[in-house]
Amino acid sequence: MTLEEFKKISQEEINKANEEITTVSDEQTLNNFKGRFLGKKSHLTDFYASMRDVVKEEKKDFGIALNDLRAKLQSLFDEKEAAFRQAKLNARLEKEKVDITLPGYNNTLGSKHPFYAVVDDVTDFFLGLGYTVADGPEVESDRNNFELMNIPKDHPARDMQDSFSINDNTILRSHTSSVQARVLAAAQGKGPIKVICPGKVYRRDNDATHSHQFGQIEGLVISEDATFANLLETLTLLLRHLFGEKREVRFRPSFFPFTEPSVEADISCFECNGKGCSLCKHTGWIEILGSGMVNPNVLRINGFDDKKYQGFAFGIGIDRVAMLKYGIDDIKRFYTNDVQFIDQFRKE
Amino acid sequence: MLFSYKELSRLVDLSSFTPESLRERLTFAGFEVEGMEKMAQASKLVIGHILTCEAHPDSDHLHLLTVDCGSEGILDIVCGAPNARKDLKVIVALIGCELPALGETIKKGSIRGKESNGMCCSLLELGVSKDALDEKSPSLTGIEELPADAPVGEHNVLEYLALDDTILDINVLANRPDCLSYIGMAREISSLTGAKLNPVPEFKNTYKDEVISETLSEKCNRFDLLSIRNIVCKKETPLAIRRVLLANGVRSLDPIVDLGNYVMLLSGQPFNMYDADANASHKYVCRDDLEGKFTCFDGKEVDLIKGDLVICDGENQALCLAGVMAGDKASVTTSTKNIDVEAAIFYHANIRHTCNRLGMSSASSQLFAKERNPKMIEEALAILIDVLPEFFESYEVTSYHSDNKAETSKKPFEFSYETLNKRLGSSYTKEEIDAVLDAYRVNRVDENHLLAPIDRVDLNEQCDIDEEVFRYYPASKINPSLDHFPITHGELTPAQKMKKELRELLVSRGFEEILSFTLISEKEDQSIRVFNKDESYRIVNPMTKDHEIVRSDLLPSMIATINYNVAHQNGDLALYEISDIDTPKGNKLYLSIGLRGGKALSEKFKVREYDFFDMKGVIEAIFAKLGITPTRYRLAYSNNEQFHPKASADIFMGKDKVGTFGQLHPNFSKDKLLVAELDLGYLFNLKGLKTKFSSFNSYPMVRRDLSFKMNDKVTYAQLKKQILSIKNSYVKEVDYFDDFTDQFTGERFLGVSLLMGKEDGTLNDVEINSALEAVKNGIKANLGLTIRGE
Repeated sequence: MTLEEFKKISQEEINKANEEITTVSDEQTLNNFKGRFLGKKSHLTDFYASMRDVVKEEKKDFGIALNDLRAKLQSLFDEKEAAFRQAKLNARLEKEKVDITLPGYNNTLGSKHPFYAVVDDVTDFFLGLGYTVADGPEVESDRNNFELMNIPKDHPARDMQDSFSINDNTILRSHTSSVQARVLAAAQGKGPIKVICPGKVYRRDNDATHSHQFGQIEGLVISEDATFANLLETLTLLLRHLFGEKREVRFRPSFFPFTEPSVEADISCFECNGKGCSLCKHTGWIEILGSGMVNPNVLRINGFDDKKYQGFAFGIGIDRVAMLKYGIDDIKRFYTNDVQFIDQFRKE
Repeated sequence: MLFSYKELSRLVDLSSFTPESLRERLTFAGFEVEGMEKMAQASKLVIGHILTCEAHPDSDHLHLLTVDCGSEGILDIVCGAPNARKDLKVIVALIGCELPALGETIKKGSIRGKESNGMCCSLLELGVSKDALDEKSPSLTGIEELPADAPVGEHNVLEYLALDDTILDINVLANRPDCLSYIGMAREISSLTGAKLNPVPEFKNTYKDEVISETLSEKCNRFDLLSIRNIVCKKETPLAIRRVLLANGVRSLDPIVDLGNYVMLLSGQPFNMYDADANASHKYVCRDDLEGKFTCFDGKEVDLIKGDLVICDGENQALCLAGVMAGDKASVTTSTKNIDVEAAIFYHANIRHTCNRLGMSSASSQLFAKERNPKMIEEALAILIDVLPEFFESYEVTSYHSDNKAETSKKPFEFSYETLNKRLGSSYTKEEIDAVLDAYRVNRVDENHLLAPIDRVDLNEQCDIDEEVFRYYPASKINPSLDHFPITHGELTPAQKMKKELRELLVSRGFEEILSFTLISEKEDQSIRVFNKDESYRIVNPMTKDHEIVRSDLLPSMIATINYNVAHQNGDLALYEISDIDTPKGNKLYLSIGLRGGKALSEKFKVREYDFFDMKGVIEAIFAKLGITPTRYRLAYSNNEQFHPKASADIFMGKDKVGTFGQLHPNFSKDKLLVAELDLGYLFNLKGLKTKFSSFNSYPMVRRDLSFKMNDKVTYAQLKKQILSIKNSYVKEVDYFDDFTDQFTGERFLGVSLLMGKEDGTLNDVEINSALEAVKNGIKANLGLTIRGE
């Protein structure tokens, strides 16, 4: 057989195979196709056998043509086989179909209480400014709670904070300033001090906006040159952190026994942006916290040299911040612990 | 305190202010104006004269009036007031008049077929507060009746009635008792804004010394007495003064009483008026050592104890509960002709104690409770003498006596301009600071010393001046900044960090954090305790019995919270609380956990109830997080009576109980509840393990499962320990995978899987089989357990 003749036969073989592959419909007929065109009894095998009769000059080209034929036939088979494999896999995958709208396993995520979400948030803020966190007991001495905070016995300011007594000298703390007395005592007259004291406090007060138990975060900074300007900046940063960068912050002079000068900080109302609404009682401003420069007498009675040291203090109502931040309507919700309430703070 | 804007304007020149701008200025000077209301509000009023008054033909109470309204003409008005009558002078609201108190605008209308062109008004309809009106005021039952000489056709009716005023509710803070008076507030406004203060009268003692005042109590350091004789009162207190009383919510009575109330409002000094004819001793003595009964002017009887300040006559007969309430003897009446006026200083704490004990309060006691300044008495008496002609047709001030033991002057204090700026972080100039000192009448004694005026009890040291400077300059000259702010290291303590991580662990495992009340009822307190059973702290002044005890344990609150939620349709609960606990034995930090109902668990959408092992899993995870390995603690069936005896456990570390968990006893809780309480304070104090890497076997391990037929005596823990102790068994780990009890035979089988391997290669079948044999034989020999099916 000449090369010319082989090319012609080879083309006929391919045409035949092309025609036949279209009739292949299952694995059986695919195997038949393989036997007929690629198997031991196929023409292809015969062509390989006839190689030995080919004249020497044409042998190389004949070989190339033969391999080419084989590759074409093989690829016809391969393509078909791959198509079958894919169809089979597709069928299996179809059977494995899941309802992707069903819930995932172990998806339960609990939630922090919003009170503690605020504590955590404020704590993180102050850790970033280099403060530490101080804890103290809730059953406190009158001395730590009042006297060392510049509120001696019979001081009119005691009427502002009607406390729960356990005996003549022991009360449930009415503010977390009592922890500041402990911090100051531990510092033994040496600064700097930068501390926040979060915790529960108790007052004999119970109405729509007050609960006899609520939370405070008090802060205290004592150093040789911490200024009132530092306080104003700290509070501005804090209030924007809590209520958004766009909030305006204003300071009003006020009075507290343990600070002087004292200021209260207001933020522009986030509901109405200062236009006036029911949340801000139509003033455009919401009162958030009280603060001031530590009264020198507080420094003196707590063992600090008020000529050398100065500093500031501030107090934030945890419940109040949480109520404003999350739009909670009633302080009582914090303490009834309905899980439908707590569940809403997963993200916090 | 409430302030009439009109009265303030009389004392200080407010011509450059409006009520609104004054409010703004005061708010930024530390005087928050909490309310601002017009005393009365109406837009189109006129004074009318009723010409005719006839009954409405179709009504049993309406009147048809013709009212002469001057330039407005004669108007037909239908009026329902019972006191409407011919010739009465009345307030007429014309068509278009807005009455905010009613939320209405007057319209031309027809009432039962009769045209009405306006409305005759009461003071209430103009917005005057009901409480402030005289009991006999016609406005309470009908329309206001104007005097016969009222000018018909006058349009400025509010001005005519002296109701054209705005009332400011100014929050005077505790450090400024001097501003609890009109004069004090006027003086503050003048200092703050430069507005001119009208001259305040000065006291000149030109009187005899006939009626004596004396204080025998340390708690009264000044007791002055002014005697006024031969009084002929005016028919009534002038309208302008009655309006000031009205603005302050004080009811006008008769001129003598009104005099005391008015001068108290002006000066801030409370007075008591005695009928001089009822005290023949011509002597008044302040004491604090009387006991016995005292009858108040209104007939109420109270018991005096030592410490109550009392004013007596020369015979030690109590005339007045000092600073609180007048007595029934020597009280002034409408027929009083001669009075002795007491102006004294009573110590604030005594007044508060007396008021609190007796449940009494008066305008005087409220002022005394906030501390009065003895040096202000003379000014108060001068004002009193100055206004006497307003109240009395004729009178004679005859005698003045003062028993004054109060310190007479303030002390100079150190001051430095540099310190002020260093403290505030500000850059006020000397001139700016001096301007404040001048405005507040603070004298510069020398380079380094200042002296404050006597009326300012709050100005005693440098920081007080720092505050005045900050208050004085409104648009604060202080730039917020962190310059000079001390740089320190901020970090949570190890215990705080552990607490934070535990909370994160619990939340990520699906637990909700709760926050309950520290104060609980006695019953709750005694219902369940895990750690100590001692007395809890008890509140001596509780608000209710429900919140009387400082809890010693968190579980009462946890159980109450679960019950609350179950009652509110939340049946599936996983809750925790971490809280400090204060007991007479010390301060603790506890964690409580509660599980109730069940939630979808990992097995495909199979919902099951929580059981003991759900709780145990949480506890184990907590211990693992705290670095406390299982070998460091042991469990024992809990002997706590409130817990299920066979499905709860106490956790011990050495001899110390560190927690209890499991199911509650059905006798204690019918609902199936699982709870736990751990002593976190104890656990946080333990030395945790240091995390240190150790090498592990990298050859493949072989797992073989065995099912042991159990008996009552052997626990899983014993079985596991025994397997691990068998030599040459290659068992590295033992794990539990099944606990099965045959329903019919009652036999219990425990499936355990053994993880086997060696450090230097892979185990072959021969080694595995011989190891399994060794395990089986060892367990049979030591614990008497056989393998299922063998």
